[in-house]
Amino acid sequence: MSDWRRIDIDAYEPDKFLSKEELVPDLPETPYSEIQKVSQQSRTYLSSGKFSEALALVLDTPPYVSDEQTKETHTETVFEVLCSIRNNHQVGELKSFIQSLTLDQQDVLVKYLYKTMGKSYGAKQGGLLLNWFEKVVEVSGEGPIVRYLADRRTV
Amino acid sequence: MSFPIVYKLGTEPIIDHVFSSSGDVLAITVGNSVKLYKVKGLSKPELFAELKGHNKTVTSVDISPDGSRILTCSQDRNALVWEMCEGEYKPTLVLLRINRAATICRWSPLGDKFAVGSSDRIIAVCYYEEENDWWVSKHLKKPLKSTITSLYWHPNNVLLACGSTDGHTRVFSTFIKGLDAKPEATAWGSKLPFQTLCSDFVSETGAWVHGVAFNATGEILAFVNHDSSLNIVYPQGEGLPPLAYHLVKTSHLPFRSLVFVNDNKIAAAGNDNVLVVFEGDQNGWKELGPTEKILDPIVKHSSTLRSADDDDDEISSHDALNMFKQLDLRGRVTKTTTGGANQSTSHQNTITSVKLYSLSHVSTSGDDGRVVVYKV
Amino acid sequence: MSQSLKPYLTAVRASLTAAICLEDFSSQLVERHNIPEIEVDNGHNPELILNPMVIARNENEKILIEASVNSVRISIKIKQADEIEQILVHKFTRFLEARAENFFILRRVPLKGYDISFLVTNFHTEEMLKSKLVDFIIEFMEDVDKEISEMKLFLNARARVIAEAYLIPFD
Repeated sequence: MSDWRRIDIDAYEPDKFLSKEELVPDLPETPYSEIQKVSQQSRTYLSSGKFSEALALVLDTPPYVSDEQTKETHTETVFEVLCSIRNNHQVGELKSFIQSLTLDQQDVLVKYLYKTMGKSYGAKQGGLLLNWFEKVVEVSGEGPIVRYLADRRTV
Repeated sequence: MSFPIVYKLGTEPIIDHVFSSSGDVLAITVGNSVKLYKVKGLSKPELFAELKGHNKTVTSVDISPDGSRILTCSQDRNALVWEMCEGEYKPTLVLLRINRAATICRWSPLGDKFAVGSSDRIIAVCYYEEENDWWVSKHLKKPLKSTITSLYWHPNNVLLACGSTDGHTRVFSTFIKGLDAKPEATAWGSKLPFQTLCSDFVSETGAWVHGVAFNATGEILAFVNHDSSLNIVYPQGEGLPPLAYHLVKTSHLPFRSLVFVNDNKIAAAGNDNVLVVFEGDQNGWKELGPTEKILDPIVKHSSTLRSADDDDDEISSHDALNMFKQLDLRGRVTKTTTGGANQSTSHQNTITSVKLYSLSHVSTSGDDGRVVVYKV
Repeated sequence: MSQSLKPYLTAVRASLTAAICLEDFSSQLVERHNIPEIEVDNGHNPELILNPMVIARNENEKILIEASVNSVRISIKIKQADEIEQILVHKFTRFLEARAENFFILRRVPLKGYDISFLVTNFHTEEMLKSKLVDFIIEFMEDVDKEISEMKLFLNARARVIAEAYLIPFD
């Protein structure tokens, strides 16, 4: 025991601490197949010009508890919808899309904006995502950002 | 009198404050000590005693219901009970048996016991033991797994609500044999031995709980989280799901503390430096909005508002840089208009505690060293 | 201000305002200590750390905000288009970091992958107005780009003068 100074003594008292696993919310797991279905459905909506329906759909079905791949697939779906809406509309029109969302959907939208900005494909489209972000803050203030920070239901 | 009344008590942050039940004594935490002021209307509060006994930041202060004892607790892991003795306040150490910071302390409604929350994931329920002339404690431990941030007593002197950074709001029984009379059954439960967990709530985000409060009859519980929302629970009875559970999401920054003004009105405040009032009943709650106007955070930076009592013409390093640049390039200085832009609210910094002052007034204290009394 | 800079700074301002909501919080782990929880990486107190935020203007310019109960770490990646800018940014941030105590919230070592980091604790927010702290960081972000491109221009101009002076004898 030469480096006894470096022993993590707190690890010997596991009952006293919360573990990362305990912070995962107690929700049913979202299967991958469901997310794939949502992804296809949203594409159908987009191709027929039903933009608000597509947006509401993807923001209603975030996989809070599931494996990384499922979460990643859904993130890409949301990103696709956001890009598609922005590319087919003026910046000013985004506001009306956001206003038509419920408070819960707005919170989820902010979660995905932060998540996609952290990805390399999102960073490339930084300007587009920032347009969305600016409008969300205009509509609903800092509440959704605070909820993104504190929410244990991560996307 | 015009409200809000603002008492400026220095520049150091006030983590907790309390008015005596008669309203003429104000106790605030300042650094390692507690200061006691005599308050009379609008005039400047008069400092009459300073309680020095802790050697780390004092985190909480409370005055017993009869006004005779002052309870303080600190990050030095101790709690002290101060009693007037020959014209001076003398401290008595409490046997807390915790080895992390004490974060909050509150007298029970009858004043015969008190609870101290700590970073040690323990709530110490303390009472006076006559034979030893000593305040002793019993621990509430399970299933607490994080720092206790707030405590609030049920009016029956037995139930205690606590909020912690693990996102749980819990209601415990603190029934102490030989001290408490057997409490009547309430909606929270009927059989209540010590450490019974009567209820446990987690808001949907699972964010840290900053403040909890019962209403005057103890039939409604409300708590605020770090997710800028207010939760209100109406219990139904032992083992049954609550009658109603309301969640009010706001666009403010997180609230730190709250209090029931009456059964249909809650005042909460926090990082937005402003008091926000909520109104509702069992069927639903809604935000009435802040009591003072806050500038839009997005346009705040461009405003050049100056408050009348802030006359320091200090310029920031950035302004200084611009000044020299202008001197260098144009040979003259144009005065910058930024700097000294203060906020429009009575509090200039985070509000740390909200207490009921009277039936229609609420007092708050903040990191800016001010105590404010609002009419709600 | 260019068209895409404004939404970027608006987003950073809103995110910082939301993230800098701090309180005095003494350590759950170490007796009688008060440490910035975001800098404690021991895996024992995951509940005290909030979700990290990334705001990206493009691949080369982004900001990472990591918040916890009593501290926020802000790391900025400054735009570097070519090697000269890389050198300039490196020298510039090193100059600032060597004088970190004068900037209160500046961290001496940036986070890996970023050029400069700030650490805001509850003691800073108690002493200073939050809006001012946010302004400081925003102004820093605005100015650093300007500063770097100015330095680059000066450097190029200087290089030109030197080259000319050097070549005069061969004229």
